Amino acid sequence: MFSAYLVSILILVGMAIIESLALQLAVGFTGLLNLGHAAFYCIGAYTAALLALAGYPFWLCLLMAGVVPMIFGFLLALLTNKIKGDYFALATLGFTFVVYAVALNWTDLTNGPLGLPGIPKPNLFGLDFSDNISFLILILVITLISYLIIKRITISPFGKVLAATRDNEMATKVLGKNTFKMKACALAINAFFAGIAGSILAYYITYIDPSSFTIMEMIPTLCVVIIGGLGSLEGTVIAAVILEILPEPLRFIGFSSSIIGPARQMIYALILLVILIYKPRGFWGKVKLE
Amino acid sequence: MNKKLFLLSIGIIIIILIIVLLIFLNTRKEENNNNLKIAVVIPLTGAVSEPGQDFLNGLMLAKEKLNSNNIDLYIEDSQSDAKDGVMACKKLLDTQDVDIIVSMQSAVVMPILSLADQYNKPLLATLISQNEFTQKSKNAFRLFTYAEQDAGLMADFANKKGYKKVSIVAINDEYGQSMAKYFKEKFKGSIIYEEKFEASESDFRTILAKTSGSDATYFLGYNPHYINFFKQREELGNNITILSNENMASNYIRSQVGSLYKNLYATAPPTILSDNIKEFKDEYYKKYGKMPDWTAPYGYDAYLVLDAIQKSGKKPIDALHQIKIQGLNGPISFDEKGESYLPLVVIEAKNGNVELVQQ
Repeated sequence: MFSAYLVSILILVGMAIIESLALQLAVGFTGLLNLGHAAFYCIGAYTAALLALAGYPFWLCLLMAGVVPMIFGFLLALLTNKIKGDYFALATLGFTFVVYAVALNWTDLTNGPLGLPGIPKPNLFGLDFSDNISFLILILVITLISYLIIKRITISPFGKVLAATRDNEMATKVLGKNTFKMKACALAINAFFAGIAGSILAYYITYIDPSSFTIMEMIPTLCVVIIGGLGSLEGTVIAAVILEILPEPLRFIGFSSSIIGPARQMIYALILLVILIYKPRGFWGKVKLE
Repeated sequence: MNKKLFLLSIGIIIIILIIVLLIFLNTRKEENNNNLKIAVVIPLTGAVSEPGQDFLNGLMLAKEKLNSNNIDLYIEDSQSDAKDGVMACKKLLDTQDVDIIVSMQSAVVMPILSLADQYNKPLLATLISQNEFTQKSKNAFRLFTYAEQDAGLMADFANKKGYKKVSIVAINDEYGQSMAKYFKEKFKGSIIYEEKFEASESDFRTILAKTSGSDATYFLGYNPHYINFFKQREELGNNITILSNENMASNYIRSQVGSLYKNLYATAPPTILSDNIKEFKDEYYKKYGKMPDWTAPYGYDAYLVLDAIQKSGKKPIDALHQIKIQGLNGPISFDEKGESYLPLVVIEAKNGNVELVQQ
């Protein structure tokens, strides 16, 4: 029987894969440095948590956890249509701060800093997923479906136009393509899957509060996307697996209790630095981050 | 994609998994070990690392002083984050088969409580103010004051003092908002101004200007906020009375603000005024080269509780309901809900020191 600890690691790996694939679509395939990703993650988590606590079925909570952030993704695309590059990144970063502030201060809806405890475990059409193994199987299925959908998008004609938009938006426009529509769809799909990942977090931890959705939470996801390589889904998956598993052996190194925390973080950061020095494009990067 | 690199990555993943598995297999529980095993999941990095490290120092000081070899502490860093805290706790529950979980900080304790229920292990928590914590599970035990008790005492004091108009300035987190909520419920006068601030806030000048019409300001935050508040109050020539809690009775704050430490009333454990705490402070200073802050006594008391459980020879959850010991923060026992009802008094800051005002 699998150790619950190892099962937990695999659940987190599944979550990290979905989140990273979503961000890869926006950053690697469309060229949108979307720093609002943490906001979509937050919206998805709170949507799922609030609906689950209100007694709605799991399938509806999961679906809405994707749809609601998707709407926000589309609105964000609308608002940032005229801005590009670093300015786009700043605008989306601002969106993350706004969503965090709303989660922290709209206490009637989100319970503010007190968070939402007691989120029930999923139950899908009579199948109970409250134990770790069944929850892991559910997550692996969702992860696989997410990967297949995003993969299909990227190899489709739509995906080719996204890549063209990333490489040269002006040329793509000249060829008669509606680049705003492309970017809006990419951002909306990014938001959808980020929301799904957020909902999985809510169901797994069974408690969420705003402190889990700051911009700092996005840094590991961005690291995965960059280390895996921009424009590569396979690289993203492998990088997500490696970076999620990497801290775990560090827990077994026998440091003195007073330096355990800082020592682990330093080692993790060093490993990331080494990877980026020798492979600045990431392992399977097809494009440069500009 | 480069096939070699792909295979290399797969190989790395497999190696890491093998390492984890090997280590896991090597650290399985020893069958003949009767020691009490404690999972200590506290923030040693991140936003709450300072109180976390202080708590750990108090815990280790008690371990050294009691010299007990029958308690095994397994310490993990929650990184002030729920997800990391849960993973750290799961690792200990699964690899060490611990008997009790000790944790702190509401954002981490609440999800860990679900784990405690899943594995049926008692959770001894500190630095959690939410009233509801002990009501959620029979495994929840709080070694801390709770918001209604702490804020209620200060509200009662404000009522007796005859304050009619009070402002509330509280950090926007679980601790600050829980305390503000219960203060508002118990205070009979009017709250003429209320402000929330973020952890990164350092400028309270505007807030101080807005509170000038109040009889007092109920201020809740952490060390940097208190220090800045005192200094900026002096800078503006504002003599507003501050009401607060034991965070503000911290030695570190007193040492930083010096003579500005005045015109303040705070709730605090009565032992802050006693000799017991002086001996603890001297020992702490001797071991760590600095004075303890306000969470260190809770770490010390947590170890005293664990020691009492180990000596009782009973199941941890039964022992927790039956222990009666004297801790640094006062007499410790847990009721049927898991509350310890640590005593609190109201102290006044005078001439850089503290004096008792109300029991």
